[in-house]
Amino acid sequence: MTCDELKIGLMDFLYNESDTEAERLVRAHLQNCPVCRGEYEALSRTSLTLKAWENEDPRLHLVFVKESQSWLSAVKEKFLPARALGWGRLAGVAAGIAIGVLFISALLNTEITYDNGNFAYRTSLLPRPTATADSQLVAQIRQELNEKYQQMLFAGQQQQRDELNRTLAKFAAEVDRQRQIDLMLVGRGLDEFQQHTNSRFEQNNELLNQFLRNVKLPQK
Amino acid sequence: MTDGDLIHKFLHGPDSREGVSAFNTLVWRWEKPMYNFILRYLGKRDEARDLTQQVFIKVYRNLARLKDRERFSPWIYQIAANLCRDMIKQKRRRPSFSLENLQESGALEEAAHAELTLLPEAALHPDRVVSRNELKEILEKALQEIPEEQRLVVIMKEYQGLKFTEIAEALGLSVNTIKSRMYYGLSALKKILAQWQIDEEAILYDV
Repeated sequence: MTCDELKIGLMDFLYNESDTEAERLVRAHLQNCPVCRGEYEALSRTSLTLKAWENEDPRLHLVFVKESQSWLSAVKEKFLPARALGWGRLAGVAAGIAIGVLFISALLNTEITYDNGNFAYRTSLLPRPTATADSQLVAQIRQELNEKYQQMLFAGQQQQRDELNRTLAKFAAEVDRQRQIDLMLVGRGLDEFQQHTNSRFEQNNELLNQFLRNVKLPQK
Repeated sequence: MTDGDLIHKFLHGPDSREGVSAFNTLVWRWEKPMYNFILRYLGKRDEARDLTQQVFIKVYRNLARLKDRERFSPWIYQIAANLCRDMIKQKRRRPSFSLENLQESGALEEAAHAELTLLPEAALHPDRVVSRNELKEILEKALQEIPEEQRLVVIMKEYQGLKFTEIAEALGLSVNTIKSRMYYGLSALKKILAQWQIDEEAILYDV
């Protein structure tokens, strides 16, 4: 073992961390090398001198207590950095937010169309002007359709009303006609009944006259 | 109960009374080592207190991500080391010039006197015996003199008592790199203390 090689081994030896073989080699070298022996003794004394600085009492007595925490502060603690934002971190956060905004914008302006079995995909960071025109056209068509629907609804209702009126008029005419027929039949019946009654009266009268003519009433 | 058991209990019901209690036991167990580790690394007590709290807040938030619960020690040191490094970087970007800092660093005195005033008192009076409190201040200053990466390894080894493999795991480096940094860090401290006339004989061990 050379003097240079001893430096590493000497540290193990000084702090009792060398294995048996390494310890034997160091001991052998120290016995034969007065320079290294002197170095070892000096380092050993320095180590001993350093030990004179004893541990101090920090008088901190740190105690962790469980605090009730609102969900907002829990989220903050989880996602926001504990230390203050430096310029680098601030720039990183700003870049992250910008990327997020661009991504959401692109997602919102994505258009997927299907035409005859083919899908077409189109996206842009900003809303396309045509999209505005399209939406205006859609609104206009929707309004026109709405108006047409209203007109058709009104026409249908009017037609239904007319139909109902016609049916009611027809029904009233039919009722009236039936009433006329009934009145006529009743009138005819009454006439027949009257004629029949009159003829019965005449017959009775005739019979009574005959009877009076044939029967002589006793003289008082 | 091991750290692994406490972590298991905490993760089983982080909002339950048992879970919170388990976590507090973990905090109570690690509060002092963390504070002293950060203090020795940064050399400022107020910063060490703040960062110790931040370490446990980070541990609370990220404990579920710890794959091997038995490797809590390297993991928490990794968190603490990263926070310390962030703090040092932040201070380099935005150096503060409060009166307190200037007094602490000795910059005001430096402006008024020669650069020798930055040296510990004992260095100016070689024959004096230093007390344990003075020695603490000297070691505090000496640790700040060596490169950051070496300081980190020296603190983890000398004061936190981690094995070289655990330090390598916490810092994400090879074991040989750690041993090399330890060697050069310790050698640098040896030279600094020798320059300041601090040796065993100068130390007055309080009874």
